[in-house]
Amino acid sequence: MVTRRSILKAGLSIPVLTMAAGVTTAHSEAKTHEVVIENFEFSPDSLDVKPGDKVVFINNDVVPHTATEKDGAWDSGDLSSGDKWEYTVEGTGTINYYCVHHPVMLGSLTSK
Amino acid sequence: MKSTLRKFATATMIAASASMLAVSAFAKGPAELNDLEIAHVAYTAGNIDIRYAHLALAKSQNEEVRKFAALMLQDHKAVNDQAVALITKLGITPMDNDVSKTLVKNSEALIKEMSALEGKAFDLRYAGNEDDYHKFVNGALEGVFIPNAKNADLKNLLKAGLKVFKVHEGHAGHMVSAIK
Repeated sequence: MVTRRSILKAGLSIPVLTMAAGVTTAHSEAKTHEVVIENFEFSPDSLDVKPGDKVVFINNDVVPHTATEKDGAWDSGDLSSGDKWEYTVEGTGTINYYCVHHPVMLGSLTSK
Repeated sequence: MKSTLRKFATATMIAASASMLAVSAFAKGPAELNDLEIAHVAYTAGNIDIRYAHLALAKSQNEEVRKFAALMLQDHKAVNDQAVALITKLGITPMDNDVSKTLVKNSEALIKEMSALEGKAFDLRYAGNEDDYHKFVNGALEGVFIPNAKNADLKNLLKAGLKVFKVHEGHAGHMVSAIK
């Protein structure tokens, strides 16, 4: 039975699927990079990436850390020991980030 | 070897702060502690710094001091949580000892002293003590407790703690300079 709700649902699903397909195509060559947080350092502390790439931050220290863009554009929030957080790279240029709890911890992503 | 370690521990403690511990009062010195006693001292030392941090957050209006104190609460809790997890995993009970007792006794006297201070006088005392306390703890960890710990998991946790506390030591030094 075709109801108003099912029509709306179908109508809504078409653009959603189209968008999803577009995302897949655009990011088909996207890579996933890992940045390990250990001994109060981001490793590697600099990384070449492309728009759409994913960067997974993994905290292997015993204390909480964050990966926070220097102007606050993005922020992992507290990553406890063993936690992971994923950031998807947007745009090009150099992205500098740090740990808000331990500001001596610095890292950068260069997006080309 | 044991005697060398003991001398090192004593020298480290005296160098860090003559008033931090009354070394001669120990019936059993830091270099003579077993793993269960070392675990107790490490946990106690963390808790003491958490108490200092609570006091600082209650009394200080200085941004540097408050930021540092909040970090101490967070980091020492995280390390002590790891210690509790290890204790649970190993099914052991840390043993109280003279070193832990002396640390607690001295910390209570210092909390009483700092509680009577206000404003910059408090900030300077807190910051100076954090600098001394982390130097003392790091010296004891590096020179005595890590070499003496027999259990590999405990040794690794102490090493991880040392890395954290060395960052704190550097931070405390900057805090002292910033307040002066």
